[in-house]
Amino acid sequence: MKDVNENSLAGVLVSAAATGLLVLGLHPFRSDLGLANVGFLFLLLTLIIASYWGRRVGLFEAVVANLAFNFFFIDPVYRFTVDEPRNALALVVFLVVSVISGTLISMAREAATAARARQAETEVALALSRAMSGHMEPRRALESLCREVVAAFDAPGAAVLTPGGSWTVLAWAGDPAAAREPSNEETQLMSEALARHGPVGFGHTGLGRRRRIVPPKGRTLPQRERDVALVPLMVGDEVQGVLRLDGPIGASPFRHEPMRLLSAVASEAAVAVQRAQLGQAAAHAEALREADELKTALMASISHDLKTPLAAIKAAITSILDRNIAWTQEDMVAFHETIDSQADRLNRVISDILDLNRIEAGTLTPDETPVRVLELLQDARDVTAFETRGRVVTVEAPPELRVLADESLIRQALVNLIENAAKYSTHDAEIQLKARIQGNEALITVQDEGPGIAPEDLPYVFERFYRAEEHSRRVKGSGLGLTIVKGFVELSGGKVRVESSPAGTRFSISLPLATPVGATV
Amino acid sequence: MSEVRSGPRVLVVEDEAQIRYALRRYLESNGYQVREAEDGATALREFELFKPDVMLLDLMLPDMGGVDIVRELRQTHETPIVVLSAMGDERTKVSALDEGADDYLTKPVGMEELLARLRVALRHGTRSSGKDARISIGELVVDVDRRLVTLQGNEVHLTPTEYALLKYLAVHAGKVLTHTMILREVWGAGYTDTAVLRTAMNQLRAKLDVDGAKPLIRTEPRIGYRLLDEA
Repeated sequence: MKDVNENSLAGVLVSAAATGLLVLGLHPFRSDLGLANVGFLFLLLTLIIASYWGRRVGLFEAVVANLAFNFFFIDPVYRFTVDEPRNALALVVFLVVSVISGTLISMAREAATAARARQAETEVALALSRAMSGHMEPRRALESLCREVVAAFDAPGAAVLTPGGSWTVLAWAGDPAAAREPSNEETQLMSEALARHGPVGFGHTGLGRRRRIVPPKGRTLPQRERDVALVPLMVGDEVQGVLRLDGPIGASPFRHEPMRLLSAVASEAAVAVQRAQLGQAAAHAEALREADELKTALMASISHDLKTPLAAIKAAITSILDRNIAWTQEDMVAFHETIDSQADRLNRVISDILDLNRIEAGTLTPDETPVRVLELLQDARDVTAFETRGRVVTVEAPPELRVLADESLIRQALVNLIENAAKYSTHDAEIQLKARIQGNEALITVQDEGPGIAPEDLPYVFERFYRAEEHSRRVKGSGLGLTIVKGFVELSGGKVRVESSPAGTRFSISLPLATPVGATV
Repeated sequence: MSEVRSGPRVLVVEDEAQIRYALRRYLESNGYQVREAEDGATALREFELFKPDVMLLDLMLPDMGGVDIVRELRQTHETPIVVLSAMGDERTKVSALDEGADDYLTKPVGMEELLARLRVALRHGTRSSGKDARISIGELVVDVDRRLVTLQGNEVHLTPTEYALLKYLAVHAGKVLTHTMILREVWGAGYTDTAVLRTAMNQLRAKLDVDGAKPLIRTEPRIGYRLLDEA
C-alpha cells in the first residue's frame, strides 16, 4: 500500500501545522469547551488527515494530536504528566479510537482507490482487446495496442520490438521517438528483462526494478533513454519480443500499480507478435509456393516449346538416316528445310527464355539512339515473313519519323507483337503496322483482325505464361512473348498498351521522339 | 520406294506441317497408305471417310484436344489409336489412354520406333476384334476357357486377382493399360489405390519369373503397365 507514500512528508507538515492551529484556536476557550469536546475536535482532525494522507500520516497525527491534547488541555497543562486517572484513561481511549478510526478510514480509502484502479484496468483491458480484435492484420493490432498503452499510462510513447539478428521495431505509437532503434543500453536492458522474465525499467517510469543508468563520461543521456521500461513478451517460454514503454508516466490510474495491467498487455502483445510472425512465415511459404507453381508452369510451357521443334528435327533426321528408303531429291530438300527452320524456331524459344531472364535479372542496359521507325517496322516485317505467311502485313509510317530507343530491343518487341498477331489471326487476314506522332511521342501500332481478347483477359496479357483460356490449347507459344514486349519497351523508355474488340486487337508502343516535334518533317 | 497401295491405312493427325510431312513420307515409304489431318474436325471427318486401320494422334490440336477425339471415336470404333505428345502434357497422355488410346509416344520420337509401335497397335487391333479363348504371347499361354495359365508348358498357379490381372493384360497385349483402367477392370469401379495394384503386379511378376523366360510385363512410369507383344 504505497499509494500515498510520496507525499507523506507534506502530510506530516500539514498535520503538524493543523494541530498547531487547532491548539491556538481552542486554547483560549479551554475552560468553556469542556475536555470531551476538545478531544472530539482532535479526533476529527486525525480522521481528516488519515483519510487524506493515508494510514501512516494518520497514525502520526493520532500521536501528535494525543500529545497536544495532553500538553495543552489536560491538567496539569503544559506538562505531559496526567494527574487524574480519569484523564489518563480518556487519553488512552482517545489514542486507541483515533488510531482505529484513522486506520479504518484510510483502508476504506485505499480500497476505493484500488477498486478504481481495477475498474480502469478492466476498461483498458477491454479497450485493448477490442482494439486488437478489430484488426486482422497483426501489425495493425500491435499498433493499436501501443496506442492503448500510451493512453492508459499517459506515456510519451510505446513500441513493440522483436528479436532477430538485431532488435527491430514491429509497431509503435505516440511520439515519433518511440519508433527509434534501441540504443546499446536499451539492448542490454532488454536482454536483462528477458533473462529475468520480468520487466526492467529505469528513470521515472515507475515500472519494475528501478535502475539508474550511468551516462558515459562527457555525455548526458537523452531524456528518452533515461525513462524507459522494458517488458518481455512471452508465449510459454518462448520470447516473442519486448514492449518498450517510454517514461515518464503521467497522471494515470495505474501509476502506482502498473504491473497488473502491463502483464495483461504483455500477454496480449506476445500473442499478437507470434501471430504476426506466423503470418509472415505463411506469406513466405505462399510466395515460395507461387514461385514453385510458376516454375512448374515454365517447365511445362518450355518443355513443350522445345520438344515440338525437336520432334520435327528428329522426324526429319531419322527419316533421312533410314537406309532402307531411297528418298527423292524433293523429300531430301523438305527434310533439310524442316531441320533448318525448326532449328531456328528452337533458337527463338531459347532466346525468349534468355531475354526474359535478362529482363528479370536486370542486366540489360538499353542503348538508346535515334531510330527511323519506318525501317524498324520493315525490318520486323521481314524477320517474321515465315510466321506471317498467308497473312497480309502492311507498313505505314512517316519516312522521317525517328524515335529515341534501343533499336534491337524495340525490333524484338515488334517481332513478338507481329508473331502474336499472326498466331491469333486466320489466313488472308491483315496485320497493320503503323506509326504516327502523338504529342511529344511516336505511337507505333500493331493491329490484327483476330478474334480479339476478352475484356476479362485484357489486364493480364502481359503476364508471364498468360494465355486466354480458350486459346490455351489452340495456340502454341511460350506464353512469354508479350511479357518480353513489355519488358523491352519499358527498358527502352517507352510504354505499351493494348486495346481489343471482337474485330481485332491493337497493341500500341509509345516512344519518345528523337527530334522535337517542330523539327520533324 | 514403291508405294504399296494395299498396305495398312494410317490416319496422321498432327498440326505441325513439317512433322506431318515427315511422318507421311516415311510411312508411305514403308508401305502404309497415309491420310493427314491438321486439326480435330478434319481428323473426325477423315476417320469416317478413310476408315483407317490405325490412327496416329497428336494431343495438342488447334481446335480440340486429342483426348476428346479419342473419347468420341471410342463410342463407335475399336480402331487402334497411338497418341503422340510432347513431354509437357503427361496428364493429357494418361487421360487419352484412360479414354481408350492404345499406346503413346513421346516427342521427339525416332521413325523406326514409331513404325514398331504402329505394327504392335495394328496386331492388337486384329486380335481384340476376334474372340480368342486361348491367348499365346511367346511362351505364355492364357487359356480363358479352362482358366489355365502356362509358361514354357508348365502350369502357373495364380490367385483369382492375379489371374484377372494377367488376363486383362494378355487380352490387351501390346497396349498400355493405365493404373485407372486396370484398377477399374480388376478391382471394380471406384477403386483408386495403386498400392494394391503394385503389390498384385509384383506377385504376378514373381510367378512369371521363370529361368529362361523374358520379362513380359513392362512398367510404364507414372502411367501404367503393358504386356509386351513383340514376338
